Amino acid sequence: MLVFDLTGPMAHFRKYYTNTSALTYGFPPRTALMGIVAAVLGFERDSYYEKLDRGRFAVAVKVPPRRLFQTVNYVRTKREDLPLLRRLQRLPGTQTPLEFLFPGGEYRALRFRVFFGYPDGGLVREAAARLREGRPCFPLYLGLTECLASASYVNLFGPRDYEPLPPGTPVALTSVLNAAHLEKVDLPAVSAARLLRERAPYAFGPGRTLRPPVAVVYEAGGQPLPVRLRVPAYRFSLATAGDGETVAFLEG
Amino acid sequence: MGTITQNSELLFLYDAKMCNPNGDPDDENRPRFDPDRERCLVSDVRLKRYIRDYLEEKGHTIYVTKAEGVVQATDRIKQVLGKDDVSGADLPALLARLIDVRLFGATMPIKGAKKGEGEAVNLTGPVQFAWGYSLNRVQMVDSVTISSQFATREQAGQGTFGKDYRIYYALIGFHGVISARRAQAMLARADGNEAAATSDADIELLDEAMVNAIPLAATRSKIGQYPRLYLRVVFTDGETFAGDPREDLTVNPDQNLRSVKELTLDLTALGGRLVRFKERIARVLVFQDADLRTTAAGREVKAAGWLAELLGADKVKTIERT
Repeated sequence: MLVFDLTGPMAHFRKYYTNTSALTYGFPPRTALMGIVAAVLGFERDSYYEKLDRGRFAVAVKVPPRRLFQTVNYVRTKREDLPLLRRLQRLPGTQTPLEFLFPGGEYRALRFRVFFGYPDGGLVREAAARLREGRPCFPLYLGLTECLASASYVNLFGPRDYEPLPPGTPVALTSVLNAAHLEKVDLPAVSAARLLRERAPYAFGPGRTLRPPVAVVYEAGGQPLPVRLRVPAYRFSLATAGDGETVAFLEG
Repeated sequence: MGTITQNSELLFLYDAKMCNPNGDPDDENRPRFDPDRERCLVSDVRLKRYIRDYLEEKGHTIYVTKAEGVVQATDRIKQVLGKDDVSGADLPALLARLIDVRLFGATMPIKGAKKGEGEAVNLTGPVQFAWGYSLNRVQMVDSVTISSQFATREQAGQGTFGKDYRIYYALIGFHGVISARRAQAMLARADGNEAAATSDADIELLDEAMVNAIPLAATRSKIGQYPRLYLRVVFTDGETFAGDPREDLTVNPDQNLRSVKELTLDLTALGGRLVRFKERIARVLVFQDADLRTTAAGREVKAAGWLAELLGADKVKTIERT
């Protein structure tokens, strides 16, 4: 199981159902995590959807993000707009409000901690080696090419180096949760949490068609969430991050 | 010179004094701004516009241009190729003509061979920039109303008022990457035609544009902008990236600034990052404006001389504005 951090000053993970405004999730959804692993390993666009769908992914939001809109001009490629544009005698492009994530509080960069496992351990070890050496095959982005990202290796765990917690155990979950795996939120234990539930992309089919999205639940400020799950959670002890992380994989 | 085989990482600093570095079109053209951290923002598209305009001025053909009037992207492709029937087979010819697509990539509406296939060709270019942000805290100029001699309507009989937002001073930092693997992917898409993939010569033109383009773009809202520092770190391979160099920079002081002469830029932490990658750094290209004072480890240095101490003099090459 490979653990690495993705950092960058800005991010945009487009919600699949937005059109006139481009809204963002507060975390990289599973398809974005897949794309990042694919970029590290050098898989071309559209070539890895089936292969990496066999992987296991979890993501924890380490820096509370805040949201900021910037309107951007995109080049028009649609014929319908042309009569209007010709009358205006200029090319304003198509203006799209684009919602970005920025680091909240005093943080200078966003930070997402990614957990990645795969049936073929060689692939995980290659990704780990590339991240340790700062040698991703392709540049990494937080959702858009203009949101350049850096990845830093955190740890590589063997199958017995992390602790599975059986379903139903009360856990303080630090990862984004697939809502299908939620049994209950331990509300009395929550002091000031802001829970978000969103439908997020899960996987691509052939030709970049979106497979049915899944509902996910997470705490907006990146605080641990006291929950009981229908699936095992996993406890990772990390020297760098105090008491470690308890995560649930999006696949269960 | 063939297709690039080495990655680069770019750091580009320019400043904006009493102007509007990048207006938000949906916000009365106010300068793009992050109000929580008081940072001025500049989109990657704004930076690429400077570069495109410079290259076009130098006689290169540009895909994303205003020179041909109002056109649909499909028509622009037809103009470039001089024919109506454009298909995927023309991609190498298009790439060979369009330097901005070879650098930055583009979405080009080209029909595929079969009906309904390949409505648009998505090309991710090897050169990508993150949005720029100011390294200092930025204040807006309070007075924003301007008057115009021109009226909005024919019978108005008097001029009109408008808004003109400016900032006092921002030292804006951009981070960019150049990916050799992306250039090789472009070469493969162009059926191995070397003229159609990003070459070392293209990247040298990019260097030239970075240090020269901005002062030439002297429209009313953009007067007062000068490049101050440009570093292009070239790696020995096509896979290494060292990360965002802006995280390492500190501007002293970082607020109430009005001019480049009032600040010093501390490069110390950037040195640490570059030394970690020393074995994999082939060379560093450096442009530094004479007015930008830089320090490292507590003493005043010039970036080029300091980098020569860290990495070896043979690895450092300076670039001048022309």
